Amino acid sequence: MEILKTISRILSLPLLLVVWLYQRTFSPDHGLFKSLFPYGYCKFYPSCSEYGRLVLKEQGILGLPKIIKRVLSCRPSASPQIDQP
Amino acid sequence: MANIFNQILIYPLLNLLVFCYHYIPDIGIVIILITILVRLLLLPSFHKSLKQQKAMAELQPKMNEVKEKYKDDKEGQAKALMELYATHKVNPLSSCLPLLIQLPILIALYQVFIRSLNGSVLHGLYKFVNDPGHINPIFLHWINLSHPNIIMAVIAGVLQYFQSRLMLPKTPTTDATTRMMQYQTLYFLPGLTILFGIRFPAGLTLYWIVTTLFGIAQQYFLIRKDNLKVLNGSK
Repeated sequence: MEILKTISRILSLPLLLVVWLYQRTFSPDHGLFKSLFPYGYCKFYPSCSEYGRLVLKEQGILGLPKIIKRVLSCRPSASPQIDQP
Repeated sequence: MANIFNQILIYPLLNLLVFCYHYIPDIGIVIILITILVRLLLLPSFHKSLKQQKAMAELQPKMNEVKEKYKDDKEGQAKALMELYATHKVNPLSSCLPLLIQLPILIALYQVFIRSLNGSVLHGLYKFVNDPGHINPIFLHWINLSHPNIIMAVIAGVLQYFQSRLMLPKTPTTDATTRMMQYQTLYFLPGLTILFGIRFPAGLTLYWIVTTLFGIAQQYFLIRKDNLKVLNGSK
């Protein structure tokens, strides 16, 4: 079980890099353009990318279903929520 | 994966382009029409955001209170604001999913413009669409849309600047870092637009000009329709 967790964490490293890049560039909540969204952009706290980053750090790619579920629920009809991983 | 992307997004858009080209034999005008069509389809629920802005203006004093209370605690501030939105049933926030859906559509549009402009044989046309052989890239008998065009790139950049300026909150900030961020936003994107514009075929630049104009018009409408007070904050 421990091995599985380690592999999952290692495989998540490229994804973490992608999230890192995204948060520093295009992300409307963390990136270069966050001043265009004075109220924030994402429906949730923490934002979807931050949530993804936390889940990846904690569980590795085994957490992917959780992240996908979160992004799918970040729809216009959703109401603002606090949703910690 | 690439094949699915072709079938679902690129070919339908390409066929639409060629189909329109059959009736309007100027690819520039077709690009303008398709851009407007796509923007209309992607138009986020416009009336909703108008209503939201009104509600936000009424909530502004409370928001300032919260911001003051959690001045040094960004996380606590975000949480408190979120709770405030929830209790007052307002929703100034956008959501991530539409952003993710839009991205592939925009990439497909770029692909379609590039493929149709480079003068090669068109792949993936449906049977009922007339194959024109190749597409003449001259716009208004004047601009060759398959070559980069510096003037159009600069126009796109300037428009981008105006759009960013319209989108910036009007309240002057005293916070130095926020102001830095705003300047960054104001000049970074136009610069990037020009840089891309002088490298890519002018057809893409034309697309970018039209889509930015659409954004400006949308933003302007939002300001006019809703009172200016909202954007000026609670003064």
